[in-house]
Amino acid sequence: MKPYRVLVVEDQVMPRQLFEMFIQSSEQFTLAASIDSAVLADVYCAGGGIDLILMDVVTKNGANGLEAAENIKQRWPKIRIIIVTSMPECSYLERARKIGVDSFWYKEISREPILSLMERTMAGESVYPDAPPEIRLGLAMSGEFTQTELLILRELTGGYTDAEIGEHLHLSRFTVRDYVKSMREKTGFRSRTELAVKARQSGLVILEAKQPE
Amino acid sequence: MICEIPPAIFGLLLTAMLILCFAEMFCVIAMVLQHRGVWQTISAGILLIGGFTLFQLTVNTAQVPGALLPAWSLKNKAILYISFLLLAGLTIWEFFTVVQWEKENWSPNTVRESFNQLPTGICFSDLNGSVLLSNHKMEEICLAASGKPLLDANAFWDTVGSQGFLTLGSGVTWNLERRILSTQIGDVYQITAADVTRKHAIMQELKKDQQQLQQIQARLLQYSESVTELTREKEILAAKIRVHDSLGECLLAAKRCIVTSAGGKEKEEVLKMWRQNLTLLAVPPDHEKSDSLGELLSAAKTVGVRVLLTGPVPPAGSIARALTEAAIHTCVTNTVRHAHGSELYVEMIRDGTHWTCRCTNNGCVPDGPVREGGGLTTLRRKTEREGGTMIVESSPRFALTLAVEEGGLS
Repeated sequence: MKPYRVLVVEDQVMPRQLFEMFIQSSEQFTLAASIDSAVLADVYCAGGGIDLILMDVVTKNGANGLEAAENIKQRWPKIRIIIVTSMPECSYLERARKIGVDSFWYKEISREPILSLMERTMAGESVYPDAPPEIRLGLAMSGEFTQTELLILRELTGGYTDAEIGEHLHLSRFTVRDYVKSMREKTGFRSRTELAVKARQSGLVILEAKQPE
Repeated sequence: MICEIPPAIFGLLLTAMLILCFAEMFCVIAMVLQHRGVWQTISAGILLIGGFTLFQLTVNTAQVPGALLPAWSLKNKAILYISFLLLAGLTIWEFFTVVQWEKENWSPNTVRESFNQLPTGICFSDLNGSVLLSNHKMEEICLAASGKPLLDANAFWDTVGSQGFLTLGSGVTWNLERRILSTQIGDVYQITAADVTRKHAIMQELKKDQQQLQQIQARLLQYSESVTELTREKEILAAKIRVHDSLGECLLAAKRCIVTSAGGKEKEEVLKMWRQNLTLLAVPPDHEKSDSLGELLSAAKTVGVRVLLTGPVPPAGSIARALTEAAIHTCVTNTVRHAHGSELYVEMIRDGTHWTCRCTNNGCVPDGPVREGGGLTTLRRKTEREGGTMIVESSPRFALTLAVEEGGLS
């Protein structure tokens, strides 16, 4: 059987080299190309001959792997995609599922080796972790936050005011204020600034640059 | 029968009559000022005349201080006392009604008094600025602010009122507003001054807090941008630690191999481990941001499309450059997928600040009009958002032309 052709999209040299090594050490897979920006992924797919993509989420120059995956799935639905990331950002799992990404792998945390996951994915399985990794934020664990709190926390890391957050999320600023207060109480942080900085540092929430309509 | 009136009593009687006369006079004047009914005023006037007449009669009949009044019989004296008491009673009653009326009813004085007691400054003037009515507070404010009395309301407004907020030397802040009122006498200006000292202080604090917040926001945004880089560095460090641990394992495995004189397969495994780790150690450092156009052309070459670029290239970071790269990107994928071509021709033309990018390929000619799919639609949206134009031609062959003015950095 011909080996599956794999496109690696990873902006950091060392992890990219690791993936290349794993692929080269396997008889089932062969390396088609290895690039550092998700922007160019569709060009390689257009050339044909890509069976599987290992796609990082945050790639070079801020190019978003999830957006590239969505684009590729719409145009070439047969290409399998595995999202690989070290960011525990809570929305990535849900977005990946929505887009139709085949599997999801956390670089630092997933116990299953990447090769095994690649084999299972090509066999038709969809392998997802049950939940994003639980991380500590102050006195609270990430699992203690509600969906709305996480949405607000994400906006907070962008430095927006309560009124602006309310506008983005269609909530009143008083509701936003109450949620921020609740999160501060949960985490024990003294100010919203501290909450925003620590949340961003932990990677629990990542605010993407809003693209104009 | 003749009765004597003791002199002291007589003197007191005269004094009391005089006081009553004055009281009656007061009641008459008060009733006129209070605009009481005509009959009420006339009745008060009658009482005044009656009182004065009684006083005069009593005085005229006294011949010498302390003497008897031989012309006054007992009957006359009784009439005198009764008249006096009646008059006194009516006067006192009237006095109280006047005072009560003053307490229970509005009068121009009441309005004036309450107007002057207001903590808010008010001034009414005609459209020329002549003051029609103003209260003490407004006059105080004008004097404190301009050093002059309030004579011309328009001059006052032009000097201090139009600022909206006025803080005096005493530290009190006034909020001045002017509006036009339509009244029976025509249009008038109403200027009001409200004490907003506390509110103003809170507003100033709020402004300061907002400025601080904006600074924090800007720093947070900066931090958000740089933290991605920090996270990448963390990941690189974690990978290096893994390699370091893996090297340790390699050493142990090699030692075991040597000590136990391990067989060929195990040796092969250990050698494979060494090769992998040494490859990782030979990894070059991350490069600085490389040319995105160069990477795009390289990617196109990998998928079998040679991009032939002629003309000047817009400067990196410019809108024209970003759109050119987006156009090449879209055309490369379409050349592969639809036209099945192997070459993409990109012609760049610069005319002053105007850039034009025209893309054609050596692939198949379209069957009919090109239907703009996801790539072309996105490209058109990006172009038109920057104020540029995009034209797609289907015959005689496919051609894409973008035109945009040279803008700032994208």
